[in-house]
Amino acid sequence: MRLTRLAQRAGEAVLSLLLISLLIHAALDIAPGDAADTLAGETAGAAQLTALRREMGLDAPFLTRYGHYVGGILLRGDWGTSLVSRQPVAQLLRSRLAATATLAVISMTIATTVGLVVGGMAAHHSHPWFDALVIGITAVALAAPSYWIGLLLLRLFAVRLRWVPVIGRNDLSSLALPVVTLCLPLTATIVRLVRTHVLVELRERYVVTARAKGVSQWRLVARHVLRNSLSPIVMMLALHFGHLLGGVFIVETLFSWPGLGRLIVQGIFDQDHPVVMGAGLLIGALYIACNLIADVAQDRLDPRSAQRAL
Amino acid sequence: MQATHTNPGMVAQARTRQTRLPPTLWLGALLTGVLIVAATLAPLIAPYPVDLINGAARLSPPNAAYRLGTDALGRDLFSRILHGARLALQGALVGTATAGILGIPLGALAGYCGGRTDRLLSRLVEVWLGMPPLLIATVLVARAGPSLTHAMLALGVASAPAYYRITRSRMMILRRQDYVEAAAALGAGPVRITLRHLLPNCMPSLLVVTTTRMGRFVLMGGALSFVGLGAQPPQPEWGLLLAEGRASLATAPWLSLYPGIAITFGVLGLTLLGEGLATWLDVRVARSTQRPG
Repeated sequence: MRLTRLAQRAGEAVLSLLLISLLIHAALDIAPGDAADTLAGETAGAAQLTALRREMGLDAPFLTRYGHYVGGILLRGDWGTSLVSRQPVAQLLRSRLAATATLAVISMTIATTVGLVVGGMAAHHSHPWFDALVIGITAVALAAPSYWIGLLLLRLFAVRLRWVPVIGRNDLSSLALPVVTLCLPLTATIVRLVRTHVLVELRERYVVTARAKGVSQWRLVARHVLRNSLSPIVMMLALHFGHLLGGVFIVETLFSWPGLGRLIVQGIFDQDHPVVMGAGLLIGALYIACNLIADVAQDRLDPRSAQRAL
Repeated sequence: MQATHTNPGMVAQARTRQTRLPPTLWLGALLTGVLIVAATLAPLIAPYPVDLINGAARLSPPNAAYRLGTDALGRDLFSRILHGARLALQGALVGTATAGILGIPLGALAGYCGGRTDRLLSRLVEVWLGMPPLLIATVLVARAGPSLTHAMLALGVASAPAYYRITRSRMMILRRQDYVEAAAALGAGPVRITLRHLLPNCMPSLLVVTTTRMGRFVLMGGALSFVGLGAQPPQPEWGLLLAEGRASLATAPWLSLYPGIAITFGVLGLTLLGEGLATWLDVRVARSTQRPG
């Protein structure tokens, strides 16, 4: 049973990937300025453009070009060439992915640690004012846009105190502000998530039993309750990691961080379609992989959910 | 749910819970009210016209004449933020309308028909949900060209699954109710049953989703504008105001401060209103709508 379910999930993931690659290809392929336009420049005549289009294979039917593109990636690892920098896209993606992954993994680790501790403490109820405070702060942290928080941090630490450089990626210090900016809303989300699930779990009967046995409240939350509410939390963490990758371009643009997200935004402005397609496809694939991991993790950690879904 | 209503004590309890408004609802309604007033009355209450350039007062810090200071062209920031409330609300409405127009009919179809139709549509939505919403929006904007309307339409398309899921799950519960059977016995067709009997009963859930989503759209619309894929100069969109303020972060920090407060204010108001409505109307928002994005 479980195997078929896994196969079904994997099938859906492949379909998602297919759909997003088609969408990206369709959106950029017929975009007003095609690659030949960008390459030939403003002064090129119509005949020159037609020749260039033929040479680049832009006059072939849509599905042929799509097949050629996907085939190139799958068979030869060829993601095309950037129209602006003339570098192979695969090479660009590799270095940019490393930069984005550094940012995302560090942020996720910090946010998860803080989120588990603070969320557990808020649910633990010994101080109602602490719970109220946590709810209030997370509400504001979730409403405040990251691009604004980032600007304020830049103003304080880069302009005023000169602790970190305003732009550029030189050393560890330039990592600090983007990480903090990414962490704030993420931590707030995880805190609320943990709090909700722990509160639900605290109403279970085994909690009453444990209390009757004299287990202390803190030990109860840390040892029993958190462990039992782990499955939905792990699932949501995986979803949020995917989401973090999908939305990372805002923070990357703000801090001029040379990651995948900034590559996409820049590529859109430069009409550098091979780059936008490659980076979009890579982010999409990572996001889909995270979703799949979330589903599988939930099934493994909580067999009940797999039963329910069937 | 129906069975519990036979117990008179439960009914009384439910009544008291419904008559006392939750504090989040009050606070959310208050903040959202201010946002709506600012948006509708912006031309009347703004001290200066939105695009009035005063070359003599470029980048002047907050003072008596310009309460929140001026930007690099000498435009009054306070007036621009007030007008920005219009764009924020309009954008959020465009986004939710798009998501609703796509998601509600499909959700109603799946929920009403069930069976094979439901399986097919739900699988499709599952695939649609598998793609990152901001990436879909970015790619669509890249295709259509950057503008606030395009950005909000794209975000709406990416958010349609939320509407699909909530409508579908409500319809699945509602269509088994006795009154639906009664209406069918009286000769009402599926379209009439859906429009007259089922959809009105989905309204509380849809209202909650719409309010919460509008908050998300103010945030995400601002994000797209901030990176240059949404509103274009000289529009006073909040995210764009922040992007423009970034250029003079060292010399004119007020430009990076106040538009952000406006966004936080608006998003907080709409989110709290949504949460308050959910408590008050006793709507359990499905897990799908709690997904990130």
